[in-house]
Amino acid sequence: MSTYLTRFTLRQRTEHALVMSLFVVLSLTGLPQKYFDAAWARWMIDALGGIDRIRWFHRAAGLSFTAMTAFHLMYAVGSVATGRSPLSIVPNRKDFTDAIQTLQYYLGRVDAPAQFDRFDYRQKFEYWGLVLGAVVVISTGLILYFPILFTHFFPGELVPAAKVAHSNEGLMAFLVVILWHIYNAHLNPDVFPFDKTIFTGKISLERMHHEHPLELARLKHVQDIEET
Amino acid sequence: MIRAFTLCCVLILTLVGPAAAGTPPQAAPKPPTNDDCLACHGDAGAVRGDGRSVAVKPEVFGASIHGAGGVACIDCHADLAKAAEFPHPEKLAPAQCASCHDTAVAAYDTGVHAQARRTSGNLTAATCADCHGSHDIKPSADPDSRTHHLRLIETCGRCHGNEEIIKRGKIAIGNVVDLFRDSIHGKALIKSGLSVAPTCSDCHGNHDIRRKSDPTSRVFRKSIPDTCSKCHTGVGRLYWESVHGTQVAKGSPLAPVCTSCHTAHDIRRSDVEGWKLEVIKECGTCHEQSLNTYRDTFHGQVTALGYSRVASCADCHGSHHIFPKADARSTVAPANVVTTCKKCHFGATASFAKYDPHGDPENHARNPFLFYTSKFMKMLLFGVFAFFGIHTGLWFARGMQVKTAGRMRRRKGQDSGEDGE
Repeated sequence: MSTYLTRFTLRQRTEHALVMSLFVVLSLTGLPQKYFDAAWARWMIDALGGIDRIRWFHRAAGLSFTAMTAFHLMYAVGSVATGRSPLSIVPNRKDFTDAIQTLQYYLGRVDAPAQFDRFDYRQKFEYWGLVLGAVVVISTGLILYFPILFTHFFPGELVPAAKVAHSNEGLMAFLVVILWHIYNAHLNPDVFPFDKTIFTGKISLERMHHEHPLELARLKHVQDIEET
Repeated sequence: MIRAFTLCCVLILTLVGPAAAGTPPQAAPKPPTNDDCLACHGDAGAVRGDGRSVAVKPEVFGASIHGAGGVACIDCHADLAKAAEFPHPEKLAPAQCASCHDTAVAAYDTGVHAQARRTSGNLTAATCADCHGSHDIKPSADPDSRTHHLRLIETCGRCHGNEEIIKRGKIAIGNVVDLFRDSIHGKALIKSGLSVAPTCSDCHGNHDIRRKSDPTSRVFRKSIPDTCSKCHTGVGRLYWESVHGTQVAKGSPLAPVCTSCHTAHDIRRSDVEGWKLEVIKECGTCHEQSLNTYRDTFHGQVTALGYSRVASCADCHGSHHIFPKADARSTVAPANVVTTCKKCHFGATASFAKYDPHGDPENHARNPFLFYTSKFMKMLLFGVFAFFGIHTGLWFARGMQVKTAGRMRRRKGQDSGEDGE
């Protein structure tokens, strides 16, 4: 029997589940709009009930995603302001050296990958990619939703640019999730076939040893994990 | 049958014979009257030597414009006026319509049907009788006439709606009558029985139908707007003022005339969804770049999906009264563009109208902001995937290598254990 540690709180797990579901809806309703010319896109649009309905779903999901992101960011700001956030997701100089060392390890130049704390550089990259991507899709999405309102404050040139940015960012998010995140969470030989941590909130001590040794060491310092 | 005809002729000869015998032989024979002719041809069974009918129904001829007007058989079949012997030879000269209808026949001679018969020996091409009939000709005002306004479509359709004749006569334009039947004009004519709806001859003329390549034709490119304007007077005036009309008037071979957008025979209502969407492609045949950039925008995507609720070309540019942007009359001229946007976007402002409905991410001069946004997003996409791709590939390779090495180690351990036993 392995010993498990709690890695994610219920709030974090709920947020992940929400992002995941909304991402599926946004991709299913967004990509056919981008590739409207392709046969599969036509088929999907018809299957989902026509362009008007697809746009309705896309906007409903987009507004939900906006609300969720706003909550997440406000929560984060609140935690930092009240000093309750460990700032463990903030990138630092070590992430840079970790990345170089790990890539050298992948290339077989050094014998061991870098040792990571609570979040490794890949996870931070992915998190910040998501946050910045969210800012881009949300702001451009709102411009496309309310072009008249936004052009009261910005010139009309913004609207086609927002469309290009929204559509490209959406595609990038989709590809990142399909290729990179699915790899990390499923195909990666360390966790294959399925890294359940974000759903259960639990991580085994073995994985902590292997993937987050520095965090484990810190936790041990605070409380004697091996005993519990 | 042949026997009946022969019998009939013998009978005529016995009746006419004594009279002929009584006249001096050097005098010209008395021309046959209609009754004389009908004595044989009035028999429903009258046939030629090869079996083809030569019957003329007396009541049909009597009801025809010629019969009712007292025209004699020999007025058309002139060579029979001098015939001395009956039954007359089977081979007669064609009926001479020109002896009375000289203007119509002169017009016919300048037309495509006469030309086809003359130059290419295409005997499928229509003559007078093909359209008007022969012994049963009625005035075109008569609803039963082949050339009545509401029936002309059937008459022209006997050839132009008949695949076999189209093939045999090498009629390049194909089956236009079928197209016309489904058109707005065809439906008005056939379904609604509207006498004001145009039929074939309203655009093509009747006797002097000319090829569209003939500059004197009513359907010659440059003449088409005037032909359509005979009914669509208001639209015609707008068109001649527009950028397309002025170009056509100057002799442009490219600028569109009515049929370029509306087609010739398949004209449909302009307020139906299908037409609104298809005409976009028509504009795009010349304005290719504009169509491409339009397709890149929200408007273009929605119309491409088959919904006409959003703006297409004519919604912003107008249809018959199109002007270049620099012209103050243009709906997209700087002074008018906000009003044009407001047709759909009620709250549109001058700033909103700076939106480029033909924004081109590749065109730095026209859309610098769009250009740089697009470039940046492409570079970002490429950069992220170059990094992710390489990183994940290496990670996977190393991960598999470590796993395989581990398995090998374990297997080695087992193997040596077995050896030990």
